Amino acid sequence: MRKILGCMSLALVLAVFMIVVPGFTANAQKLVIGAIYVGSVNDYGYNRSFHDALTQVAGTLPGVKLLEAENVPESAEAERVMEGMIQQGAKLIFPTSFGHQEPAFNVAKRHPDVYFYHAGGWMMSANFGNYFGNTQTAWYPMGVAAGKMTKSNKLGFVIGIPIGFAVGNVNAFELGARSVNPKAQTVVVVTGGWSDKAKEAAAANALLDQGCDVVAMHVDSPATVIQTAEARGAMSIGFQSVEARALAPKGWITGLGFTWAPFFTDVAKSVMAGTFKAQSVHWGLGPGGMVAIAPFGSSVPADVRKLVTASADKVAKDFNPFTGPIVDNTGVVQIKAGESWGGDKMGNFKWYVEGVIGKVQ
Amino acid sequence: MPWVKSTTLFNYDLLIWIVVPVAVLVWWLLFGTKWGLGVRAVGESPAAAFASGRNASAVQFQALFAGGLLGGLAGAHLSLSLTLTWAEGMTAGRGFIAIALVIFSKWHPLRAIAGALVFGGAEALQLQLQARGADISPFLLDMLPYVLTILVLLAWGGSRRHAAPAGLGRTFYGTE
Repeated sequence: MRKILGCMSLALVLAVFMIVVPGFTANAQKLVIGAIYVGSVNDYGYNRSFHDALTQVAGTLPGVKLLEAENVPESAEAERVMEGMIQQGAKLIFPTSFGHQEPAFNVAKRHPDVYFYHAGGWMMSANFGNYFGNTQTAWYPMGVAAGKMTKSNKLGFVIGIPIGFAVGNVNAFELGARSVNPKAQTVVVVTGGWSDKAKEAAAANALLDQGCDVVAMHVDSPATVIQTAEARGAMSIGFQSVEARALAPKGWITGLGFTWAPFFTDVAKSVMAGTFKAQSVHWGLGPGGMVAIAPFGSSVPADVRKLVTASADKVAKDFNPFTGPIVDNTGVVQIKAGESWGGDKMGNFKWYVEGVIGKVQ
Repeated sequence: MPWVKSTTLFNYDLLIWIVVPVAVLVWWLLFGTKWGLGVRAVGESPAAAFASGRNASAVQFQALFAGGLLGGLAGAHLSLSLTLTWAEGMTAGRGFIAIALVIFSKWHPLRAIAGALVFGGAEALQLQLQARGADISPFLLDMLPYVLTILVLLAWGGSRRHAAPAGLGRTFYGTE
């Protein structure tokens, strides 16, 4: 009997500690941020860019705690994960994959005091905003780099799904390459999914078999394409995360990476100050923007670096490569002289520019 | 920049070279050894094999072990050698295609070699066609492996009604 009483009182004391003590320490925190990723943060790509930015925010803003969940599927399971984070005190949640939008919106409806910013979607409510980085024009200086570095004048581009934004990336890339190398062509291979690694390897090999000596990509993780190119002695231009350059010590030219930290810092501060506003935020290249250019590889000569940096500065200011007349690769004029396609039209590309070898659909 | 290695032909790692020899080894094990005879017997009728003195559960376990070993090798190759990375769900349904391949080859390892070349080759072919600038929609090309599978099955399928081992999928509980 005494033993039972002893055990019960020990259990009671433990329970009190587990409930009360965390309550005390929670007061020292100002904000708990939750983030869900569709893949692994070690992908040197899309997911890593969010992880790096949030870790930076948690490191610079005092009193911020970061909860992260990887490999969260784009289904009702995501709701469960987000609910779990809210139970742990999360007041600001970043669902980072496109397919997390609906689950997150459902959770947002049930928790009007928790704030959400979704990457890449369009849904909005009082506590739910969306954002994404404008990458299309940023691919223009990437094309400049590739156009200057290529010896075979054939550039390869692996894309996951030919949505307008991906096609726009390819178009800007080719326009940039042509601006410094009129003979440059871009060959496009579509794998059919954002993250099918075996197909990405086969696609990269197919491009290299056809004589491409520079490969670029728009898939979730640039790792497979870059490493395949590196193994065969080709050059690569990265995407999603500037950290991808670690994968290609010899062949890295440059790349684009998302820099979400300035935006995330603004949002976190607004939540802590109680001034959160749900908006649709789309920033591009430039200081404090959402897209940055990665450091150059060691094999890139100084004159090419100057050219690329100058081109990037132009784009960051006001240069729009999608200014007419622009002809597509079947000879049809898609953007007339005097017209230009702005940021709101970046999802509308259903054609490749002249010089791209490929079919959109 | 060094010249780009123009082809991957014959630039394979060890595991790709042993794929066909391993399939031939499995064929020999199944059809040329007493152990293989036991496996096939248990596959057709575990009760009959048990009655003839074989330990059906042990044989099933051994076959499962061998299959798991080969499957693990394939997965390791996919990650370590082919894609040089790892991601959740990276097999992307190819295991189910492997099951279809088993049925397609009527449970015969040598026919499976041909089937695997057709299935795998079609997947690589559609990407090669895109890289060559084929004037076909990439969505249609993506269907190629599956369309090719159906066509090959129609042409060389034959009757599969009695191809499966009769004891497949049935649990054997030993003596009652």
